[in-house]
Amino acid sequence: MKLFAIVLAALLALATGETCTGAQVEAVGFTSLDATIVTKIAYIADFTLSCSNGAKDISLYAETVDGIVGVARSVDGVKYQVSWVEDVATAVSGERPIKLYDEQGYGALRKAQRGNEDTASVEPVATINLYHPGAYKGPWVQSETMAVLAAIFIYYYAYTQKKRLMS
Amino acid sequence: MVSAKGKLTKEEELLLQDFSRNVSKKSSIIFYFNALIVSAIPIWLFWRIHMMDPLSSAFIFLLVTGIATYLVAFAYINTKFVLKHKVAQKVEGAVSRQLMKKLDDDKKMHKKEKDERVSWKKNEVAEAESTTFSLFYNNALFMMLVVLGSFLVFRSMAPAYNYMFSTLGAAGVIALFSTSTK
Repeated sequence: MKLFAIVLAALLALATGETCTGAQVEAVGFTSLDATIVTKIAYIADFTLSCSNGAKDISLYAETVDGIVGVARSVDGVKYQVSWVEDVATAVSGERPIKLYDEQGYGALRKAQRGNEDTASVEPVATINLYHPGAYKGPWVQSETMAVLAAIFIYYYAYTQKKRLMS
Repeated sequence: MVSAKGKLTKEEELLLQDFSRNVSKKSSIIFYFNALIVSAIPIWLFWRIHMMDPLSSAFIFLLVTGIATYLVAFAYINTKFVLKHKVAQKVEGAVSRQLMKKLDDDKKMHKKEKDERVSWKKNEVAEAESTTFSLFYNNALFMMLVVLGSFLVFRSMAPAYNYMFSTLGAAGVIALFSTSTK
């Protein structure tokens, strides 16, 4: 009977997804810094999740600028990764909050969205702030333009000097 | 002033040389050497920026540089010729004043000899100034035309055509402009 209860609890946990309490997130972020040859900026957050109740192998969902996406999980269930892309034009520098939800939180979030309720009331498991320092979009003035301007200026000087000589 | 044999005297030859389009050997070396350097500069642009392989495009580089060298040197010589007279007129006063001050003490010297010295000095100054200015002016014009041609006018063309049109075009234009006397 005792064994049955444990198996039942395990099945229940598997079906609903284990809940994680007191989540601690350690994240490393990456964003594209050079936008001279790309059209989209990539955002990647790598993180590990440790729960105070020892819950492991939790399915996570992340609410990003791009909408709600599934969080990729490594086979051993230790590492997670969430990523998305934004157009260079809209990818301004600054913090990108990533709200992490477990199965239950995800369900509540979807319910709130369906019912047009305030999604802020759904508490995320944890929040990661991914900082994007802004991407390099090339120099303000192209070097060709500078070369053309310098060449025109030098020729203008030569021309005025010649005009003076020939007058 | 033609001598009995129909040949020009040495003085006359010198005088003619001063006002002829022919340049001395020294000037000609300066002009052609400078023209070669200036015509070769666009190779760097098309090799490093437009990524033309120097070995496989060696023929086109050599051909275009050769033609451009000739045209640029032609422009130098013409511009120098036009400028020389103008410069000579401009520096005449200053040169003669300076030289007369120096020669005034020399009582033994005839006026004719003094005039000759002034003329010779004037010619030397005008030669040097017109040579230098011709190099500067034509280089500035050539470089501007190459930059405008390669970056703006022919930018959408393949590098090989861009190189040919911008370099030969610029050299041709400065050669053409140099024939103007104004």
